[in-house]
Amino acid sequence: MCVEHSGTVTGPVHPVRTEPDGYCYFFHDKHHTPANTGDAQWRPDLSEADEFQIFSDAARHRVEVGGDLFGVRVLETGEVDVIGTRSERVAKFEKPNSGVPWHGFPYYPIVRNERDRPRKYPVPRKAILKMREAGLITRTQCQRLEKGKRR
Amino acid sequence: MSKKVFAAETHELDDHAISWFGLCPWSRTACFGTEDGHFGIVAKRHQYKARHKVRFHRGAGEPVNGVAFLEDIVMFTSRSAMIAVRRDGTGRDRLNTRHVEIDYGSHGVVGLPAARSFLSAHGHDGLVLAMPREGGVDTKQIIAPEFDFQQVLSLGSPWGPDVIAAACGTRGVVGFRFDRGQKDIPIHVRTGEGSDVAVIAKVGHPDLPYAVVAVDADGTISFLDDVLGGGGVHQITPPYPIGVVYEAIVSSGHLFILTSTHLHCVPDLVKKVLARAESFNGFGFECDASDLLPVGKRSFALIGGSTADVIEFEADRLVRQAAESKATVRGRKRPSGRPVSLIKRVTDIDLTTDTPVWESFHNKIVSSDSTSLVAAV
Repeated sequence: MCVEHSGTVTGPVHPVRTEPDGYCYFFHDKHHTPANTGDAQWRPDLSEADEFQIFSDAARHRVEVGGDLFGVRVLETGEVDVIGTRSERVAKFEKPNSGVPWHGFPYYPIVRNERDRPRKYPVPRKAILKMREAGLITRTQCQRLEKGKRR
Repeated sequence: MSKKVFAAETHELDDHAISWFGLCPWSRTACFGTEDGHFGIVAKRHQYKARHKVRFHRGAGEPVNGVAFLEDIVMFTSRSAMIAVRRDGTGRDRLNTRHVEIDYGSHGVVGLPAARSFLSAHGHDGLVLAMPREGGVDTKQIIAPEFDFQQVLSLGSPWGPDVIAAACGTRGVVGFRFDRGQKDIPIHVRTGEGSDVAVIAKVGHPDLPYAVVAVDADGTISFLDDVLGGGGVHQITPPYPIGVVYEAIVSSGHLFILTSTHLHCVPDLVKKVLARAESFNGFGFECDASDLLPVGKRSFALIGGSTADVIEFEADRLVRQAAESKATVRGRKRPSGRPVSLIKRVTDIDLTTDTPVWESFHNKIVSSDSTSLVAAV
């Protein structure tokens, strides 16, 4: 079971560890504050259970690129769900320091090049291909995500 | 469920998977983008051969998701970059070896003939105007943070500035005239309450130059007479769920919608709207393609399906064959010729109809609200 941390963990910790690696996860406040426009935001109506399920699936299937994990939520309709407030469909979970739970956030689909801000890169293509290999998404969904398509 | 066989052409490359397919206006031959980011044009002198020689230009390593031509420049886009290449002066299918790379990922790009620029969609980051100049490309960001620009269409510029339509999800369809010198752009928002526009398609009819068809996430089809605010909005609701809406195009006046499960067709949509018809019909085929693109004015291509990288259909012919009671079976013609790159086959494609024919649609004419907003350039 995962327990509450202090210090770097600024948000509630999910009690369940992932399988098979036993990762802990917390819901980072800065990604659950819609007024905060500087950081990616989870869609407000997405439950903590949904967010943890995305992380759990990514961890179980080891959809990992450079130590980070990537995941999606696929609806029964076959749609790769929008999980963020800026139409993001893929979540990135950054590898934490030892002993610190993981956290994640929706990741932008295309390169962002905003004035006066550092350039932001999109979900790595390798991560999308790994999700396909793991069976999290279909071939068609993979092709759509690779092209930065909305649905 | 019934199976029918349709005449089609398939296109595949020897060493690359195709992610975008269309017609090159310079050479009048096929051109395409690949999953590894290359852009190619079929060499003019090979256009009637089964295997076509292709002139390639290397890109940014991500699947090409959009291509637009403007004068002697082609712009191709991906999630990671936009690349502009000038045509080589020595031939209609030759590209300059040098290119300009713009550090914006994009959802797609169009050419604006009057503004002599390219315009691309960047979600909540707005639109980017790319203005070619000698030796480079200048860019300007058009910002309207409340809009999620997922797709842009150029509706042409018959009487002055370019007219643009954009699909903006829950903010509906927006339309505006664009003049390169403008500082502020009045935007017309065409949306019904509760709509979530997934895709839009250019109608391209001379009597309705600024008309577009919008398809909502729930499959509702809205025919907008004029994206700039005039005219009506004709709404057609399919009688059953049509799947996750991917793309839509109007080809030869017929509407085609690609979803996660089907290719749907509403035959003669444009003709019927112009005639103020009160009912529409439609049909759907099982389909596992990931993209739908126009090829010239009369054909379209399905991209990324399991049958072939590209399956090209002539719109009128497909609609005609679908209406025939018996399946049309054609002989297979295997191409011959020396191995080069793009392989074209004249073939027959099995399409399975498992959806009932749409009947007696109600053509509901809804209000045509228009709001003016301002975007800063």
